[in-house]
Amino acid sequence: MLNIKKLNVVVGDKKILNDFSLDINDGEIHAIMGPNGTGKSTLSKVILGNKNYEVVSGDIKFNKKSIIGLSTDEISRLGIFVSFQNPISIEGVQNSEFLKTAINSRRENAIGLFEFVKEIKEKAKELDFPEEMIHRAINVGASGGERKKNEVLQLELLEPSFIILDELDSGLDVDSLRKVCDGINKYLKDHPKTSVLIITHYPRILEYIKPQFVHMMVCGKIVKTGGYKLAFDIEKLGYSDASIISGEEVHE
Amino acid sequence: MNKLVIDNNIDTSDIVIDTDTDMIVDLSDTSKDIDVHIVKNVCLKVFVKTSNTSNKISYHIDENCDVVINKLAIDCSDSVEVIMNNVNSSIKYNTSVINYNDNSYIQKVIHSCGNTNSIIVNHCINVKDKEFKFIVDGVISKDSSKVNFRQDNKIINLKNGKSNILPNLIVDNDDIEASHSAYIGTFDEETIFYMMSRGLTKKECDDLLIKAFLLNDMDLSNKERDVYCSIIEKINK
Repeated sequence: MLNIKKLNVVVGDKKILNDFSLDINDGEIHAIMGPNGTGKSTLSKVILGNKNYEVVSGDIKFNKKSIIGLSTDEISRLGIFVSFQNPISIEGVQNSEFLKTAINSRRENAIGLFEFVKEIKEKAKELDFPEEMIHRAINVGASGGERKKNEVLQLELLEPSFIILDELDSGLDVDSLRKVCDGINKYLKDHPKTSVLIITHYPRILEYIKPQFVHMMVCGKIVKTGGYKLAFDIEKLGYSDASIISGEEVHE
Repeated sequence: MNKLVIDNNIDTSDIVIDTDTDMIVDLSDTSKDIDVHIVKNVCLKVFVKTSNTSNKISYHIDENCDVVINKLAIDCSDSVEVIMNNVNSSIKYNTSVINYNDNSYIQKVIHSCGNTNSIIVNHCINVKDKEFKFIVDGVISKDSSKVNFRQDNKIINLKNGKSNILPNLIVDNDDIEASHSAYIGTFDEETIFYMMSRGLTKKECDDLLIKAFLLNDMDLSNKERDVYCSIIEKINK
């Protein structure tokens, strides 16, 4: 599915990703945890081809083809979706029109109005996403929780095969987090080959979407990989002590 | 509600609105001088669609009037004057310009009387490598207390057009509220990235953002919106 090999990324003079490597196979769920400023969110933007980040060396392959140099929309249409940490609001652009354009961008024939309305209403209802927000400008006046639900609504409508959840739990209360994670788990059940990369500070979200692999990222690279338990060791001990407890050291 | 249509066949330069009116102005390739007098206690809503014009239009607003003007102009070098002649009146004037050639749009709002409000929103999409200029004056005289004047000007360059905004506030009274803003640039990079991350091409992003930018502040019926949308959709072809 996704293979990142010895990726080095800079912004100006600052190195953000440092020989970063990660392999995610079909249907696997991985989590990355790491201290602030270690490059976790940058990773998701680099995967999406954000031009503000310069890939100095290394490669990212999606389904065995390099995606370095592709535009963000091309990468998205290959089936990669990022749920952003802070989804922005866009004045004047209606949610439904945006979503319809996004759906049509990956179809040969445009989706019919009836099919679109039926689908979006069903999925919004499942997420407890207010129906009137479908017809409002994207995230304008929306709470943090509504923004995250909108991200998951987009995810479900665009049907990606690789999902990055960048701090999905920030801004969500317990009930909303459960609702959103239920939506994602249902999607994963219906699309068993879909892979997920969860970027998080806290293991709380991992109780709802359980990863097979947890990676600890420090200074732009993965320094330790373990199972589900590593997430709780990190929370209990902090990043410096967790590195000597469980999981495998990553050797170059 | 009265309905009044002003098109290229208009043969008068003075229009008096003395009852609540929906006015449609549809002018192309004209260079006219038109004075619109809005008498007291009248609500006027104006839907303007112009192309390649250099008209001089003056709105004279009397006491206790409520005026809303939504104007979409292609290649516009109009000069517009709004004169608030009497108390308790307000105007909201939205102008959206689609610019292909060298043009200047001049707008002057004169608050000759206190207790008057004006909200001026000027947006322009400068499509090609041409020059466009907003020159917007707000004048509040010494005797005009309790005036509220707001002015917002934005130009988005789709290419390397030379754009300029000259926002002027000429205020001779302490007891008023006035603000103005000016922005010249491109659509926000982060917004484009977010939209492209959902699979939209750059052109699809621009199309949606242009429509939002030009129409978002306007108070339009569905029919009026459709008319404007069909014009805007031709911009980025």
